[in-house]
Amino acid sequence: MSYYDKDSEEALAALAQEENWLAPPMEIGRVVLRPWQQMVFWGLRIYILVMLAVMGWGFYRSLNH
Amino acid sequence: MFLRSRSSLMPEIADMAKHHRVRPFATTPLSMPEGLEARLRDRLHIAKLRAAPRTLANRLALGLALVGPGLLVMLGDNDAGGVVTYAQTGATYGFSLFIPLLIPLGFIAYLVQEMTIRLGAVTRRGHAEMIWKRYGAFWGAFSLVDLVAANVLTLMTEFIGIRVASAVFGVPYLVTIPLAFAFITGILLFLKYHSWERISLIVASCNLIFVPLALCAHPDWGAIGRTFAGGGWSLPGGLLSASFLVLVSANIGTTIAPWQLFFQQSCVVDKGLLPQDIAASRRDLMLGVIGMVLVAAAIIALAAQYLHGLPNASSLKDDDVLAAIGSRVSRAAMIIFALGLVEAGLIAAIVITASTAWAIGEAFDLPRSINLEPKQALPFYAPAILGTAIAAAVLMLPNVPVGFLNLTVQVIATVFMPAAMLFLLMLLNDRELLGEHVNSPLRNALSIGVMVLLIICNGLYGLVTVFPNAL
Repeated sequence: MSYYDKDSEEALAALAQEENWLAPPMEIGRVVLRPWQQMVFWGLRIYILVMLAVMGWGFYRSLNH
Repeated sequence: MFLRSRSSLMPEIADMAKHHRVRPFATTPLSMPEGLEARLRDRLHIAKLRAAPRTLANRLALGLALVGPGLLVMLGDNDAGGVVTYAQTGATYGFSLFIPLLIPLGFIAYLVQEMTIRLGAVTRRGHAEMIWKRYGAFWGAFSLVDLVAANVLTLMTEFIGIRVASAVFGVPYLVTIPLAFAFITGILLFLKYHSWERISLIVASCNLIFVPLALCAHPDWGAIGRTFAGGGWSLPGGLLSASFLVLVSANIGTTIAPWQLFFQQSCVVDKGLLPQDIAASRRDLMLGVIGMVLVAAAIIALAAQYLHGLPNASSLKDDDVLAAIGSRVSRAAMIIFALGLVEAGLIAAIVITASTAWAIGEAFDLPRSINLEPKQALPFYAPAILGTAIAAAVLMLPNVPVGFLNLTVQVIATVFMPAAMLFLLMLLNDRELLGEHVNSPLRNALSIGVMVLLIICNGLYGLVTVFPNAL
């Protein structure tokens, strides 16, 4: 008999076990970014700051024209 | 035999159990936190439908039970700011390459969002949690700050849409904005995930109102067809004009944005989707992408036909679009467009508020699920509601000059997107986490191509903004 044939509470417990809802999940270990990855991310941070400044400048100019 | 000690529960659940009341089942020895119980009930509903005889009715019911995150993220993507961006695009360039451009944009959206499905279903963890735990709090905080800042700005554009559209019905914005805020926060706080998702889906489905509106306005099918064969591709000012580049960036920003990555992955997790549901979730996403493209095409075509040539076409705001539709199409069309604008603002505010809640909950390892009651999970709900309240409060000020935000936040989304996508790509290539579900080389190449495209578009826009005569 499958769990969906059982009464609701028992079915929930069976489903929890079958789909592994109560077992500990995989560990998410910390990974240290490699230097080149850090450089790329810092580059993207700088890119965001520059673009936000450019957009601010663009909208300031468009408001004054 | 189903008994598990609470100490052996997975950390997220153990955390929920630690913080909250754990309700024992009446007839079994199993006990679990309420958030998980509600999720399991949703899973049981799906399992029963899967086991039921494969009649058309059962298959439809199963399909309906499995849709949600994909449809919500893509129809929520057609937000109030997006609607105005599409209208502005059609008004500025008429029947142009922007209509066929929606097809590759749809593929880009699918490419990017599909990755969040796999990541969420396999790891059972949200996007912010993955970044925070895998790469540490320093980089996690960076991505969270980007997300929350962009979300609050985007929420303002949603309330702009609601504010302007409510004027069409003669209802003061001091009534409609608080009502919208109460609805958004009410369903988040007081409904379980399943009910929240179903109500959100009903609201999202009204996004399609723009399609019959455009069809009833007798679109020029010949002109639409010619755009797919190169008609209207030569643009005034050229491909390197600032107005073209900003509209390209804005149209990309209406298609993919950081909140969408965070939202869909967390939504997949809260719905309880697992690797066996990835195929169904891809169909859900594809449906959402088709809906997004149809709605965007309908608005661009409507604006191309009726608003093209307006003197202020390149700087239209919500009220300009509504007034122009009222005068150039009909009052009925204006009312339907206004209804669509309210809906677009509402559904986007619903999903963006949820994305903020999930992301902050994941980052700070709080109990996090829409299945949790407010008294159980105030730290999870409160920051998101505060962000939405700030956006609503700003738009309740009289004469607040934020109309320019519509296009700006779309472009900001494209500026934040490469960094968000890089984290996503790194996670999707992590075989230790995803096993067989890692990205294929082709998918990696396409994703890197999208990132480069975003940076080039923004770079060109920046160049012509600072040096207008450089190109």
